[in-house]
Amino acid sequence: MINITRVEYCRFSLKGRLRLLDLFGELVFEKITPNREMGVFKLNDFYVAVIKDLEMNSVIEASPLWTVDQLQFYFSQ
Amino acid sequence: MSKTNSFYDTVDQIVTYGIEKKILHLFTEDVPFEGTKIMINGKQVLNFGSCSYLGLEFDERLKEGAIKAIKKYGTQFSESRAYVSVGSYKELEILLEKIFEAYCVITPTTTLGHIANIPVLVDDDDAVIMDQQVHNSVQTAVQIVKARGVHIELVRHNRMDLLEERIKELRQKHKKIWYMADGIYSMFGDCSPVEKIYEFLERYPEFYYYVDDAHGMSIHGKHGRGFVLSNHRIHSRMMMVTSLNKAFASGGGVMVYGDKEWARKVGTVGGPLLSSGPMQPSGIGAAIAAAKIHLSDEIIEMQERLQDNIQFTLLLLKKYKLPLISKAGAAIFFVGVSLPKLGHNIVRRMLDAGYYVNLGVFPTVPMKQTGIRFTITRLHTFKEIESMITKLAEIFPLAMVEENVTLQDIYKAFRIAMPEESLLVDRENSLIKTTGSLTVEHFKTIHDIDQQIWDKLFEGKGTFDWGGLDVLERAFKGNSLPEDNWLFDYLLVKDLKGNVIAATFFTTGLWKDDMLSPAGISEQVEAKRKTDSYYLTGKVICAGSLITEGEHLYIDYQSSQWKEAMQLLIEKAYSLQDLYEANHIVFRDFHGIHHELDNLLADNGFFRLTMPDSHVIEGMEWKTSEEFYHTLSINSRNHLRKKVLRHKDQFDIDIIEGKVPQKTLDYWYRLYLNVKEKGLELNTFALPRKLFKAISEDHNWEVIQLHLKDRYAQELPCCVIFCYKSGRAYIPMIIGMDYTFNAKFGIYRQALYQVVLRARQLGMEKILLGFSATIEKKKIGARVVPTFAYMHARDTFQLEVLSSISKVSAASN
Repeated sequence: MINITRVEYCRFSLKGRLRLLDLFGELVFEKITPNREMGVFKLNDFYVAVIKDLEMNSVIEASPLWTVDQLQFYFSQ
Repeated sequence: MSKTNSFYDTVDQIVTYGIEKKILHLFTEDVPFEGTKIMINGKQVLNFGSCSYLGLEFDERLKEGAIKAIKKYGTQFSESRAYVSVGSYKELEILLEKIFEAYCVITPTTTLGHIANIPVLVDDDDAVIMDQQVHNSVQTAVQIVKARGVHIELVRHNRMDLLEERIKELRQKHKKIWYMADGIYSMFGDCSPVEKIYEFLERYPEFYYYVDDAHGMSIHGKHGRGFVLSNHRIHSRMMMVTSLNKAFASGGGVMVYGDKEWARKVGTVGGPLLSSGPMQPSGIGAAIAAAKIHLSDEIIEMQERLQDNIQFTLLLLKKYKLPLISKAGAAIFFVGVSLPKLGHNIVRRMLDAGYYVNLGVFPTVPMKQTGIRFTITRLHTFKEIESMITKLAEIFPLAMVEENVTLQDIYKAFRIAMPEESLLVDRENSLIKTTGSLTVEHFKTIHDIDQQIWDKLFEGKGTFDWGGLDVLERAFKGNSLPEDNWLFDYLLVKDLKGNVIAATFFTTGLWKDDMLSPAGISEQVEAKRKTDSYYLTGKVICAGSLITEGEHLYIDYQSSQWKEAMQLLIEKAYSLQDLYEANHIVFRDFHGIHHELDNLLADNGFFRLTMPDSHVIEGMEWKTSEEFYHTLSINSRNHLRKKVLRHKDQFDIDIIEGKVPQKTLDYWYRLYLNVKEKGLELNTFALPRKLFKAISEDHNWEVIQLHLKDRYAQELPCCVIFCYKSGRAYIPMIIGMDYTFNAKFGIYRQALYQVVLRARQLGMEKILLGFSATIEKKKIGARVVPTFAYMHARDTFQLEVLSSISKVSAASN
């Protein structure tokens, strides 16, 4: 496990964030829509939402979730 | 303190020691390698020592570029650029000018770049201020302009407040003030405060910025133009040299100018560009390919991946609470370990575990600021970085216990506040065990030590038996000048049976930093001291003292515990250093090198210095002066006959013991000052008058006084020698002379001869003649004794200032 805060996580590039999640993240939720694949990872003591554009076949976002509302938003999708 | 060649001897000692420990001068095996792994000693290890931060050396485009260029132009193009260059040179310069958006000139190495630039750009009436830690290659090039008389100064590392003070003062006298610094410093990986420097460029029209950004190149800024130019365009009063030999991965250097005329002029007359070979085709071919990558968006991705690796490394260092010494601006990390022995231990263990990391050790860092230096490249994976740092964190406390170094010691050595809690401390506490079989006895005065015990250890070795130290304690207290007041500390390390295993005494006082410098250097320093009495002086803890000569450190080498005992002595010296806020610790007057002790002292942050030779006359079995004459070589007999015995009858010799009138003491002191002022070989403060009074009142001391007779007769003596009797050793310690008739009658030689006769008369077995006058002393039968000292410098700034004076002297000689 790695001790990392959301602020520290944000210093990583998108690719760096994915490398971190690959090593230390725990997938807690996943959903696929026609265009997007969404995943929520638990990293240390916070959550990260990862969005993949299926048409482009690339991850376009891997941002930390700052509020419970944001987390619930993803779970309710 | 410095002495010709001492610096190189010291570096040789440290590096050789590292080679013996198999952590320096390593070679990779003769097998192909790629990425982050190399083969060392038949074993594959992860390489954390590469400065090729983007890993471009393995990029096929660079390899192809080099191969194509060789096929096109051969392995080299051996003509000076002043005559003709291969066409690709122009292509590369154009590409580099696009990268930097400035005028560029290529050079085979950055070192040659500095040598080309600095003598051309710096005028004789300019002033140069170098950051204390500016790269050695810049300092080397500055020596060239120093020899022309250019005003040179050092400023403490990254101290912009001090720099501004100096700019304000120097702008009154100099049209241009050059500040020379690195963008990112190669050892600690810290950065130059570029924003502040740009402020100075705006504020002071006389201010010029000369920067070496080798470690910032490629990994920072648009098109990888470096750390310094990552937020600013090059300034018109600025010049940057950077390397193509690190993250650019092709070899060579590039000089980047804010002024077109500078580029033209250096390109035309810069020494190495006129007369040295160019960057070779393979390098140019690779550099063109690298430059094209830098000009594409690909460089952004590469930089990002490296930055991710840097961020990840910082997270792990934080997790394990390893003592990271500076905020990394580059991909260089420096984990402090303080003493070299801990550094050697960790690097060796890491290598055994499959990780190659660098040892950051003297002279690139101060002795007690040794560290584990490692670099991160784009090619490292998070897993590789994690495994290396986890291993480092595992090894660190084990090695600390083994070497008896605490985290507190480490933070103290780097003058950094220790974090409140540390995982390492917990582990360390659980591992440290005290053996407690040795004790250190510490006394503040010789009167608290049994005279028999002390004299058993030190009698006959110099003027520091019990009685001799009693005199010194009385003489060096209550004086008006700071240099005339010393602190005394006596240390005896004993085993459980009460046997003394190691012992010494320390005096703490003010020393001249140039004490062991060549006389020419001291002359320059003394000129400055006319207006600033304490210029280049500092508090020193010395095993021994400035007035005593001989082996001041007793070690019972027969004891199996002598190393532990020495370790305790050294630790006590360090704690006294903190207590007295002394800059240096010196163990002086070792007659020869004891290999194990040498290594032990090096491990503990001491470096060896060559002192002036000492001299001793032994084998004094002869009975008469005639017999003594026959103990000498034929040449020495001739010398004695022609230069000494011939004048012998011109002198009256008196031996004076006990108190003398104040008037006599005053005259003796004048004679002493005559000698003191004449010789700068061992540049010390003048001894206090009080010492001479104390000597005259002490029964162990006597004075040999020489008067000239007949028509040269004077009321006052022409020479006095203050001699100490310690057991069966006779020690002429201080001499005073009137030089008026020295050439005519050989007064100094006569004095030496009279010392020999007097020693025999007293039934002494040996005469300790001390330093200097080797030729004269050899001629009266003295044996030359090579003598060494060991020194630990907490802060090397003053030594670096002194070294910069030494270099210019050497350059102008």
